[in-house]
Amino acid sequence: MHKINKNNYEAFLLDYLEGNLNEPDLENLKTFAVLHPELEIDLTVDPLLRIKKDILNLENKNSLLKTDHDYLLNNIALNYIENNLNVTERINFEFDLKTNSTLQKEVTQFKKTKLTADLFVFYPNKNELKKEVKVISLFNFKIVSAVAAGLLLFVGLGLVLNSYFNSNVKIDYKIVINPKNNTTLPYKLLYDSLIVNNSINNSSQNLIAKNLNNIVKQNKSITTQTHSVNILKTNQVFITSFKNDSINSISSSTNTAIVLNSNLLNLVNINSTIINAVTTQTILLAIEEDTDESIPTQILQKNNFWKRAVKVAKQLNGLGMKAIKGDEKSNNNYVLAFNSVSVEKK
Amino acid sequence: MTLNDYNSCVQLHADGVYRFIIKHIRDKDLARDIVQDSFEKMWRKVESIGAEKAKTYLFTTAYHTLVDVTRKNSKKANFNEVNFNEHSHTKQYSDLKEILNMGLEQLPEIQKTVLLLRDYEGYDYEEIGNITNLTESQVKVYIFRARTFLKNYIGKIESVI
Repeated sequence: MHKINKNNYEAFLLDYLEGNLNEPDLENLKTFAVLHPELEIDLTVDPLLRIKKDILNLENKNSLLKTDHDYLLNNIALNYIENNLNVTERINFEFDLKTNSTLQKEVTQFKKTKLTADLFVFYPNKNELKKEVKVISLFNFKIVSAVAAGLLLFVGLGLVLNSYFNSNVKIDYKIVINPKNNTTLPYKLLYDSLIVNNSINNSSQNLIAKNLNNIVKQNKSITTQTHSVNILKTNQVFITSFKNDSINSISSSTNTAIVLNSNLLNLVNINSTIINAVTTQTILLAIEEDTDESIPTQILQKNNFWKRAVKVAKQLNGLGMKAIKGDEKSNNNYVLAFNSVSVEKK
Repeated sequence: MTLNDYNSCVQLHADGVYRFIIKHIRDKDLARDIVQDSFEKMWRKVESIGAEKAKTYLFTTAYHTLVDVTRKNSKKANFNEVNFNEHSHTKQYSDLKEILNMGLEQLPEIQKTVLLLRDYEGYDYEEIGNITNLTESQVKVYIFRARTFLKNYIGKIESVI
């Protein structure tokens, strides 16, 4: 070690403070300090004094870490061929590119990764994808066919039924009367009324018998007389005669069958033009006793094509033809539906 | 979107969608079915799709149909697990395009998809993200990974040749 003087004493002092001064040099430094008090050398400071580390860690240090992605996304050659560089970056990069052969090679290799579509691959028959007109699905041919078929079915059934009902038996008039006093009606219609010829000849008798048998489900038989119908089996009533425009004699039972002539038509005050048109005929009713008070006291409903069609539709629906639906609303409104298409009669 | 817009879309994009699909599945009939299905789906919503969005809608629909189909018929290896640094090449390749196509086949499906949309159709990262349900950043990473892989793949093949 050199001798301590005014030019180098600070180096000795630094070694002292860092604890690196050996014992002879320390003694020399102390002597030098005494000989030169004007330098104000302080050797009382603990030479082992250290500035302690702050225990202060940076939070989220990991966020500063870079991943392979970052490295990848920072690849300037890749960004160059992906056109992700701004104008300045691009100019600078292209300037470097002229002189940097490694960069040139990398850019060339990346450019080779650009895919080009094979323009000779075509979708076969593009015309099959094109549409001629915009067709609303409602008028799709299949649906139109189905609707037409459904309507034809309704019309056809309507015509058949109409023809049948107009021939011999008319079941279109619901007439419910109280056979006793012609006022209240604790009865509901068992079957619709039947219209037969007024002249009760043999064929008519047979007709009545046939239809009444249908009415009472073949449990009963009838015979007809000039102005009365006798039902011979039990649980039947019969009208023996008419007197003073009222029912003269009638017995009540669970099931009744009543024959009305033109006089009785007036009695029950049926004003229907259709009924009036057939006043020369006898109307046969089948009723059964019922305590349902909700039944109207006198019902005369005009059954027309729509009503029959609705009835047929309901029957078909009940048989499993779910596509067909019929609905009878109030005020003689009818709805016939086939799939999603419905026709409403108001 | 009008009828004319729709038919123009067929004329303009049917080939592109077909090429895009057929790059994923080599079954031409299936690719054709997917294209047909995509156009039919678009036709059903023709009134609610703007003409300017038609192409994106078409590719989005085609892509999702493709994903469904490939999931059902998945017989391919999951290339996400492929070690990109090791490849065996027993075939001699004649030109760059062929090499590139072979490299493309080695890519994970999603990387192939985004790269095809980028290079074939020129979509930006955001549009590709919309089609594939990825974030823009994910799209960029996949594209960069794909390019890096292809660059190395081409380099290795060329050095062998």
